[in-house]
Amino acid sequence: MSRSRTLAVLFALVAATGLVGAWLPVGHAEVDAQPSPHSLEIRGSGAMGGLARAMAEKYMADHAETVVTVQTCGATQALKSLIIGTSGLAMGTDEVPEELSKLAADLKVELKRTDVYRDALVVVVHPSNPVRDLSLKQVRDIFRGTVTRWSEVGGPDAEIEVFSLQATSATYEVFKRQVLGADAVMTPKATLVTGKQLREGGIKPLAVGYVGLSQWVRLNKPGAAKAEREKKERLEEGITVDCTSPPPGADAAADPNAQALIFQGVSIGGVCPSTRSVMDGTYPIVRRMSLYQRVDGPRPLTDAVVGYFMDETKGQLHVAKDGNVPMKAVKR
Amino acid sequence: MSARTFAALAACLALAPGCRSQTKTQETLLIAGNASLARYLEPVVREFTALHPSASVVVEPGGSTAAVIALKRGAIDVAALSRLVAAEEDDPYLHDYQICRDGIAIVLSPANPLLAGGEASALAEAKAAEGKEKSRTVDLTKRQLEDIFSGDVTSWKQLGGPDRPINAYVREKTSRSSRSFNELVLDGDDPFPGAKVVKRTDDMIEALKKDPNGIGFLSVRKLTKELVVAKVEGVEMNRLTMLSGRYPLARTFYLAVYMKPSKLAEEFLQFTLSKTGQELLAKDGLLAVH
Repeated sequence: MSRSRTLAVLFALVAATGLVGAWLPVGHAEVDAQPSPHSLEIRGSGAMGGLARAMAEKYMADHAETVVTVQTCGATQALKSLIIGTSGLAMGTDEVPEELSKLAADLKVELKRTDVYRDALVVVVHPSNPVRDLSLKQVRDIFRGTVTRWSEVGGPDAEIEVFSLQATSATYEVFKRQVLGADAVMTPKATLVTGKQLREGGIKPLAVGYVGLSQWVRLNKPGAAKAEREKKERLEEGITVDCTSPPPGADAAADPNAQALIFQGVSIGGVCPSTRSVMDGTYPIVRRMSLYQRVDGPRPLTDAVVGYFMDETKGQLHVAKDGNVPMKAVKR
Repeated sequence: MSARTFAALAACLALAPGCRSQTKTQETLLIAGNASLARYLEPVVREFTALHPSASVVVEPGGSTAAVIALKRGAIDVAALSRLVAAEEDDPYLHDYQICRDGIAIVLSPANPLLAGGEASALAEAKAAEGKEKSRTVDLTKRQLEDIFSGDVTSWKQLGGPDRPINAYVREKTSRSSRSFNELVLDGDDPFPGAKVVKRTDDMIEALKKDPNGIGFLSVRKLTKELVVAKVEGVEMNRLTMLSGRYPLARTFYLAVYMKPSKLAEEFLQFTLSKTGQELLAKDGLLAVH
């Protein structure tokens, strides 16, 4: 049958059932999606995709005959798949949406969560802006729109230009939850940008925005000396955002290091975002990325793969090299 | 099943409410979706019906998107998908099961101009002499591959090599790896008319062995050490990178059901996921996932 004819017949079929209202018995399919003890299917947030693919390949290389597959999709979709049983491990943030908690309860499914790493959000301004510290309340008020001028927070007398990431961004989700509060709204005056636009366009002199700590190093195009220092930071001591550097003076053009900074990070309540301040809990704008599994019967392969994510020499080291904050210190 | 029988089934559904549910207990199974997957399922269906002689299983193409719609309307029992269900299509009663992965390897002659040992620079030769394996592989981007096989890039010079013509080799349209290749590399389009068409896998291998300027493709199972396999986007093609999803010229096949499907549908799914089902798929060059 030609393709177009098949399509036509298929749609005729659909239309026919639409007219009658096909009777579909309500309920869930009962198929064992993981019939082999040697295979594991992981679905989840693209933010964890790179880490998951690395862990999958590492595990398979160490254990011939096992199959560990990774498919990226939205965190909600991944969690749903885990709950209804079409996959074995889900990657997402540390919060389960309410409708999925209900679905799990309805299907009598219990979930177990393992936090894999943390990611901090850095509030950024232009290097020429003298503001270097804001309280969490001030950040909240700025992004909600109740504080509108830099002079209200110790800066020049000019209107604050608020930039935020698109609502589809996972970083925005964290920002919304941690800074705005669940029911609070972003100021309608905010300009919405994509991560790419931020990377390519930089930040304007009177603007305020936010980026993930792991992106911090990549976004600030480094001069040669800075690159060396950052490489050292990432691999040895972790990342530290310098919130104390003064705005570049009149002779800034002469100093290549001053030129190099595109985004200036601010401290929140006196705490600069860094691997250390996230780890010790003093930095307030943090999200956790987690793995979820079902608690029904022992599944050695799932536990073993989660173990790889949590291993200091494997998953946690990978996390640190990416610029994210592992759950505990790793020897880099 | 002929178009007439198909239309008859449609008529039955239109005229007899509840006919669908009767059809279910009479052991018919209607599967539709991605055309490539529909063909790959043929041996699985044959084996399944041998084990369930009273069952009648029909597999039709029509595309993944149409199949999801048809599935949720109850018009078909199982959707055969070449992609994960999209967020907008998803709901708690849609169960999609990964059944295998499909990949395409890009292959070239060992005397390819981009490699040391071809007409490459002295530097590359020196690297090879030092034992640095890197110069023995070709690394191409998806964009470059699309350009090569759509005729937009015609000289190795445009890929950083010497000024020699690129000879693109493709398989006959009816071959399964041809369909996979078109969908994975050319976004569903056909290769440009200037690409040389070969009949069988062996013909592809022979042609590339003889033609230093050639570039072609093979399915995962038919790889041979006699040809160079290109990295794509910096990723080596192997079983692990295809299963992890890192290798870009690979995709995942799913079978999906909606609400409470018939027992036959559940049995068919379970059979496809079983060792037997997986082996049947692997025989045709797909990558088993269970």
